[in-house]
Amino acid sequence: MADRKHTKNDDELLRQYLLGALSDDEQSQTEQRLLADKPFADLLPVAEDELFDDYVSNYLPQKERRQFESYFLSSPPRRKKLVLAKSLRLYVNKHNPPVETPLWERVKERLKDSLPIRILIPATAVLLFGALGVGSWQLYQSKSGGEQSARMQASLGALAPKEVSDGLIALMETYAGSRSSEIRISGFPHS
Amino acid sequence: MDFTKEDFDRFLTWLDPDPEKAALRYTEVHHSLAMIFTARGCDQSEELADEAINRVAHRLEKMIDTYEGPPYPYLVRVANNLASEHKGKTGKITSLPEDFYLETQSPDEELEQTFACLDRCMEKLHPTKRQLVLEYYQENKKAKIERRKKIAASLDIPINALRIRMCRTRDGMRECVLRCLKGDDSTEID
Repeated sequence: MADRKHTKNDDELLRQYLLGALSDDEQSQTEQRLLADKPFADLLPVAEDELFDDYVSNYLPQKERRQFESYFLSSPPRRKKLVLAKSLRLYVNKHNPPVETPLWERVKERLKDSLPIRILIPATAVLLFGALGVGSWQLYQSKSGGEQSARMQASLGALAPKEVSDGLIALMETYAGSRSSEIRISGFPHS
Repeated sequence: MDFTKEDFDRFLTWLDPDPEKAALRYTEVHHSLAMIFTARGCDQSEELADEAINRVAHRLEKMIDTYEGPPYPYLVRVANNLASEHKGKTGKITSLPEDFYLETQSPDEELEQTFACLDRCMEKLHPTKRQLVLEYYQENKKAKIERRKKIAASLDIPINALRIRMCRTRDGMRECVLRCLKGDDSTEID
């Protein structure tokens, strides 16, 4: 069998083979290729090492983690290799502290495991727009309240001493929403 | 099972008519068979690879005139049967037995001793190679691929060649650690 060029899918195929996740036919085809295609076969121990590392670093999705523990680790030599993988992780982290993954990336990875992505994205969009809407409304409310106080201060400032005008402004703000019809007709911004 | 020189020569010719290529193919096929048995959860993978080749070589005299196509599908079928027989005898282990840690060290002790041996082995590694190991295995899921591509580019080798090279370095570390755990003072990494 002629050597085939290695593709990115070969890595995924070997990973699924090692996890026992292929159908019988797929497994048979993969094993025939392992016998016939040396460059492909050379990648099997690489895929094995990378699976150990992903497990030790807690990068495996839940389903693969289960497959790793129930199928991949069923071989005693592999359990020994797991101890070495853990030791290597400890050694590298001791001499080379891990670069911290940003909080948002870690949260995203966790959510990906627990919620399907087709729910996650629209739900996040709805929450964001909702939060923006509420925030804008509150900003508008507080801004118009502030502007109203400023207008009241300006209209009263020339007519009354500061203490009196401050008191009047406080009264206006308190009763701004509950004026009698006669006062509304008068045009004054207060009850 | 008895396996004659004629059986072996017939098997080599079946793999490849060119004797030199056949010898190389034999080594590669044996190695791949051992990996297949390990992947299937069998612990005596080298012996099972020998047995698979013995069985095929023994049957080849009767089937070689009628068999069509490459040898690999038949080798996989034989390996499949052998793996099933082996698991039937030894029982498939799906999880650690409850008394696993009673007869051996605790997981923490084993990890501690393995780590100590790895530390010793790594100290014997050439500083450049040690630094390469530290950079290659640095923990960061997202940046890992880009970092490894940069390392491969700096060494002027394809990324897969780097992955295979690091895998072999790791095999060397593994052998060194195993020797250390058995009390062997030589901590050179092959």
